[in-house]
Amino acid sequence: MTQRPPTSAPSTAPLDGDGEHDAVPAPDDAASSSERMRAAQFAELLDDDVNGSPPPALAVATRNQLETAVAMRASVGRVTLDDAAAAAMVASVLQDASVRAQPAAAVDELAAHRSKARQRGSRTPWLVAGGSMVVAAAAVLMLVLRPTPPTAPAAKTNVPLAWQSRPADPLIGAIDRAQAGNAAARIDAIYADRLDGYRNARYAQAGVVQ
Amino acid sequence: MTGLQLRRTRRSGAWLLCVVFALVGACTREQAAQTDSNHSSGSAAQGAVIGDDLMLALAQAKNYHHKANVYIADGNTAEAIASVRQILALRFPANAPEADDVRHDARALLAKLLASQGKLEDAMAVIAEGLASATRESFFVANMYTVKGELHQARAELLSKDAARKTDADAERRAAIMAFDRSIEINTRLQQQLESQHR
Repeated sequence: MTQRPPTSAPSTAPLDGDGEHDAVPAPDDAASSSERMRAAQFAELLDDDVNGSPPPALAVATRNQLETAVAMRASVGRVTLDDAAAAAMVASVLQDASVRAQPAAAVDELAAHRSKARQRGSRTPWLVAGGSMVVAAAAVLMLVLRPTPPTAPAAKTNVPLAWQSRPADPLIGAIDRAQAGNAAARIDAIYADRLDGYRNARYAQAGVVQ
Repeated sequence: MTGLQLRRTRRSGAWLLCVVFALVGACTREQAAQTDSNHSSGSAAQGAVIGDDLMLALAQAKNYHHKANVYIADGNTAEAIASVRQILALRFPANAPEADDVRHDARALLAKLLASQGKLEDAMAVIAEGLASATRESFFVANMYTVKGELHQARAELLSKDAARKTDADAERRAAIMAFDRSIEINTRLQQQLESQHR
């Protein structure tokens, strides 16, 4: 706010000097010349104060009267700003607001943080799913690459033929027609042969030397 | 959807496909291994070391045969037939070659016993079932063909008593000859195989 030079000359004599006080006039009496002069001086003081000029040294009573008058003037809404003062005030307010506002760099940094957090948040389910898939793939690979169990556990190449279950053709040979019904003799032969192999196998498994 | 998301989605899809293919491959491999296992055990328990279960089944078959022989000697063909039928119900180790041989032999005896009772059709049915269940040629299968020939021969003899059924009798004779020939053919082939193995 620009300050105007004071229009009132610094008063050398206090306005409320004890000796200069008139007696209290009656309400209907006309203002005396001294009363008019003090009113004019006070008006100048008030104008200076409103215009921003620092008041001269004043008596306490006069200062109180001046402050009261300024307050009363403001309360009735007669305080107005000229265009320059209003523009300066608006500029000052805007500058304060822009200074108080977050700087662009900080805003950018905050946005970047938020973006990263969002990316991290959106990436987490994929990371979990990807990790699960890797584990599943590893399990499947282990399943695929595991050594297959022997497909024919009973087939042992180093087992003597006599110990093995096998067709009885070599033992029985061609069956003569006259012997077609003599199955008892054949089952005896088969049983005896297999029993021999069975015993030998069991002895061998038990480590018995024959 | 952004390009990054698209790429992620495609990558995830590729992973998923890999997992699915691996699972399918594993299942296929597992199934193939199982199939191989079944085939190998199917082509035999042949080669398996003789175990308790096979010896028990053979011992039971032996007992039923001797029991049947006692009944036959006693003239009790019905009980003999019942005893031989027990052999067909015996539980052998899966795919043991001896099981086929013993059952075929029991069927041959059973058919002869039924035939001795005049039950030619039943006897023929027993043989037909045996031949249908045969998975390989053997002397026991040849023996069933021999018995089949005998059954056709018995039918022919019965039919020949009726002059009106001479044609049927001739057909039975031809069937008997075919059955005997089949038996001879199998025996000859197996004999040659055995001889070549011994050389």
